[in-house]
Amino acid sequence: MKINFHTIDWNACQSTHGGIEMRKMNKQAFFRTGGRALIYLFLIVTGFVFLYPLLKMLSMSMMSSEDLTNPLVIWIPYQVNWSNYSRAILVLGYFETLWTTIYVSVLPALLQTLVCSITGYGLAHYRFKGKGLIFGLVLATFIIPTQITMIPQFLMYRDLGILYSLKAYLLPAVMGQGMRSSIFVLIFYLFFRQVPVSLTEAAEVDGARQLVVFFKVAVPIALPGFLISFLLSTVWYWNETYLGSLYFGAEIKTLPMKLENFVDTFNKMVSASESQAGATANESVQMAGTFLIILPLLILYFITQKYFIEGIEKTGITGE
Amino acid sequence: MKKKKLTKPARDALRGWLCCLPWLAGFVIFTMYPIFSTLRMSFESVVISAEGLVTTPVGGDNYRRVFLADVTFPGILIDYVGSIVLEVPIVIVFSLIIALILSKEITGKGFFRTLFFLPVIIISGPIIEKFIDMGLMTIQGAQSNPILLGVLEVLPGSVSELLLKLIDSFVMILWFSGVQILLLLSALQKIDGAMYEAAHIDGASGWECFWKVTLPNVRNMIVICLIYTIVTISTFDTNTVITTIQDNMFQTSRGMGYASAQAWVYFLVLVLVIGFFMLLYGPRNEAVYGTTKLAKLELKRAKKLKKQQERELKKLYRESRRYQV
Repeated sequence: MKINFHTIDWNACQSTHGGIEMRKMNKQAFFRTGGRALIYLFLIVTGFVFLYPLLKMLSMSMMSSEDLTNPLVIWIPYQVNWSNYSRAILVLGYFETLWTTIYVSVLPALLQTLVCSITGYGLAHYRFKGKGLIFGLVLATFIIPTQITMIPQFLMYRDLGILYSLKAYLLPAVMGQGMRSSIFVLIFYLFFRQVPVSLTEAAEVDGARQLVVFFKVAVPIALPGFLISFLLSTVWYWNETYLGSLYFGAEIKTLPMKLENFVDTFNKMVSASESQAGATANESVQMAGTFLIILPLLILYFITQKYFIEGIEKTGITGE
Repeated sequence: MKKKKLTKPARDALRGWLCCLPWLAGFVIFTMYPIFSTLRMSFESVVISAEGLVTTPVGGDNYRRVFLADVTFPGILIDYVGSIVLEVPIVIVFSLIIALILSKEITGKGFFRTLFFLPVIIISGPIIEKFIDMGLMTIQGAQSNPILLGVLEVLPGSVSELLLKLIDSFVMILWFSGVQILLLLSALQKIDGAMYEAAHIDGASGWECFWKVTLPNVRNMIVICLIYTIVTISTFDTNTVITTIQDNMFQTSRGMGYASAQAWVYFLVLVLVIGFFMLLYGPRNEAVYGTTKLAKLELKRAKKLKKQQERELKKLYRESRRYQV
């Protein structure tokens, strides 16, 4: 009896084995399911390694100081200790700072997305001399580390009088030089390339102006590009701390910036108030603070993860 | 439009430049000018005083100090190069393996994709620092593993130190591979299934298929991932070179001129590292279509065929006209 090996459902074989003819194939089926199991095992282990810091953070954030030192307690604390969170919220000034962080990251991200979309559209839609040069410059800005430009930029902002205000983020964003702007220009270039030329030409023949073509034809097709750029750029502005603390000084403090001197602030606040006596900035409180800072990003990611994944994948598919 | 009408190419050129104008202006003001300004400052001594910045040209003094007088910086740079040469291949190989697995039919594919991309969202300097402080970025028990300790003892000091650092931040290295996994995954899914079938019929095993079909097809994407990885790791906040430069910036004893010189040295080293990886595994044209020679021959043959067909068509056309008359 000849059997086509490719058409057999090996999982089914495994479960209904016993027939004499099947005996021969069982060996192969065994290896195949074994291979599958190994692959799943590998995925699950790496998945766990990926999540390990986050899980550990979550478990540590709920421990009391006795649990931390107890070698028997590894993952699950004896008692869920919510006071860590209330202290962390107090130290971070959480809700106020959250609001600051949101507008510090969303406003520049919006501007950056807009400007980069126009640049990407220009590169994708029009044919002109010097395009290669502009492309080269865009790629070059990706490689240039911020450390080489930040000193003169700092001095420039000081001379312009926009240091220690959000304008220090907004101005470069308006000029297309925000956080990792070259990536966004490339993303938009790739997305606008997908707009069929016949469509824009048809609109032009019908008498539509360039702006109308852009907003009514190109933008709707490249909408996923806008979404992914806005989200990524918000996240990157959110997570930037060094440039932020350089340009804003003590005027604007975002959540990640506050995490940097969490322990100092904690000690100051504790020594100031008698009711908190005995509390130390142990690992649990620090982890609770870290979790609170990551939490908004996690929520954002779980709502929008589909767009993130699809956006990046589309970028990968359309361009090389 | 009552103004003088331009031809379409001219109008397109104008509009194209107009679209890129904000970006170009920004580039000149916020990138090009600062770069040259840092270059100039790296040859000066810059002191912040009450009246503002006081600069005095010192020639190549800053650079001399970076390499000869600074006790720590050259060592930090060498460490950086060593760790990046180790880390980048790990990131690339790891993301390629994950992408290969996820490109197969796997239940829970979407879940794993979401999971592996998660670090891209939350990664930031202070948070990573906290995690490293708490020892969350390492696999617990790895450092007390007897086999590993034995291996480390045999190796020379600097290498084992590098390895130890690698183990210390192992999870972090994996965390750098979120974007790369997705990019490689999309490149893998783009490969034509017929190619695998053809290879299979020719008797290629899965292993051979990987080296002869999969890898050449995703080569360009791997190059992109290489550059992306190098740049992200090099510009990340916890990078020691970066923190050193930043510390020096506002130190009165060293000052901005010295920090500028360091930044320039760092930039050049970064370019060299990228160049090194490009030499090792750069983009090649023949990657997708076998050898270029063959491809060129094929193209020639196709052109010849096309010309012949055109000639025949013309002949037919002429003949048909003759009969019409």
